[in-house]
Amino acid sequence: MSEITRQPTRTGTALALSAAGFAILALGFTTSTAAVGGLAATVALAAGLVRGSRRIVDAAGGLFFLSLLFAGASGAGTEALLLAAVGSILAWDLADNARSVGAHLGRETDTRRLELVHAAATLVVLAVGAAVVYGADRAAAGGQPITAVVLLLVGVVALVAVVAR
Amino acid sequence: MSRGFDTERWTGLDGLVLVAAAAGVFTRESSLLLAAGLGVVVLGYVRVAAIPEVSLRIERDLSDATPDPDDEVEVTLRVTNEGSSTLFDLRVVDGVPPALGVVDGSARLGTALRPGATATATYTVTAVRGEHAWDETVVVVRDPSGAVESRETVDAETTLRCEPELAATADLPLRGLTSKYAGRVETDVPGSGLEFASIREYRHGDPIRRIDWNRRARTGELATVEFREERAASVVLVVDTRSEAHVAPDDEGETAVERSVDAASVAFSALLDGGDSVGVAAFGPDECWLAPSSGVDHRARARRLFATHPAFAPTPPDGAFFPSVAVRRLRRRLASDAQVIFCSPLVDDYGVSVARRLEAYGHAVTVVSPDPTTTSTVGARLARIERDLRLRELRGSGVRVVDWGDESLGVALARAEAGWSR
Repeated sequence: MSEITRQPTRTGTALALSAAGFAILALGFTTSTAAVGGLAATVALAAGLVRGSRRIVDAAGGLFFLSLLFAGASGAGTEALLLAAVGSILAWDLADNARSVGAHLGRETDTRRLELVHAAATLVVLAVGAAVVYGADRAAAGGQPITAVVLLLVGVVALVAVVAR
Repeated sequence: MSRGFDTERWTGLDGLVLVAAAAGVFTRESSLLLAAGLGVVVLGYVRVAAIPEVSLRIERDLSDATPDPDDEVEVTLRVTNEGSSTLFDLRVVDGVPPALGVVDGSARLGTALRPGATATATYTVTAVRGEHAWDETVVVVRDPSGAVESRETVDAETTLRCEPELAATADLPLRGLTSKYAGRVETDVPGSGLEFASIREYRHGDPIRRIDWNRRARTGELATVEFREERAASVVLVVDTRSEAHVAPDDEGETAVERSVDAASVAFSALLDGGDSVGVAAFGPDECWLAPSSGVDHRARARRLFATHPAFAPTPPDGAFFPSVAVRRLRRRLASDAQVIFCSPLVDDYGVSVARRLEAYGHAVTVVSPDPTTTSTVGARLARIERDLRLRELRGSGVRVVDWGDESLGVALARAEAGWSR
């Protein structure tokens, strides 16, 4: 009787590590500390995928977040930070999906279509989101008085409150 | 639209977004606020997640619905989306019967499915004796973001029926307990037959052909030659199907019940060919009784019984079992002149006590015991020694024992027979 291997799928692992590599590349345009953080996050992500552990994958997501925060706080360019954010979210999402698909269906099953569709859906949402946010930033170009920033923050808080009940 | 249950996949993202936004305000970096904005977009994407109405049709095709044992059967699972919306994340786990092992391919399917489209999974199972019905297919659907998941089951009835031919590949010698009908078991009763038994004084009415004429010529006395009479036996094959008997040397190996049923079906065929009347009983939670009889109909009934009766299923039974009640019921059913062939791995003491009790009640008992023990660990070696002691105890109490190891049943029988007294 052949047992199924409940490990993260190979397709998902490859996709997630590619996205993580892209995030490192984007972080490389900010500060070297953030890039090292991204590298550490990628190593953690790979470890989580090898072990098939949700905790390690989530911890890798947290490391990505800290790297982004650090890069942003030390004055990174808007484009680089947005791209790094897209790469980080995509990497975590694909890794977690690979883990979940692996747990459900095992490595022996052909799940390429499932995971490519999932990756494409997430990528489209992130790309559109990044484009909208970036567009809004360009439209409001010029000086940024602190009131605008505060208003933007209030908007974000309101959106989060409505959206993530 | 159903919301399904929350996978809690994106839990905590809202907190991270707020932290990023707050950091953006404190450091007056617009890029952090923009990253937080991207997070809000993702949160919105997760929030609108919903699972459409799932309407799937599942079909299953077997390359052969009535295979022979150990044949490989190719199973094709077809999943069609009959709903009106695309399923972005569809995971299907087929309910392969527990006794059938998937040897090639995967009985699972993961794909995205447009309305009207069909996805196919192909896998191969090895047929084993019995009637196997497929369980419900489990379908897991997630929304594209993976935030919600719904799980349902779809039923597609498929049955694989595998009935081995009853082949008499080994000859099982019986003990001396017989019925009054002529057959092939040599008894100690003197009379007509083939094998010389004794010479006794002539009595009036003895057939003229059996008079020892040489003796008459030598001494002038009349004497009659007697032969061992050959009679038919009535045999009941009792298979130990208790959960204790569902043991195998390793994960891949045949269980002792499987081998016991094999031995019983070989013996059934051989005995029936020899003119004996043969019955079948299961000693386990599932009740099974086929009274001793003979003939073509009986053979067909037994073949069906061995193949598909739930008592002989390759998976352990889960009902409650009261062994002493079962022994009493078995005894009531056994005719006084019935021999018993008891197929049991004898991995616990109860099997021994059953054999000894039946022997004590006058049913000549032969135990055919498939050996499920190994020598891999200390515990396994201990189990083997315990089993050997049980066999020795049985032999000591006059029960015939066939210890059936890895070799074929015929070899085991020949070896055991050499040590038996008539």
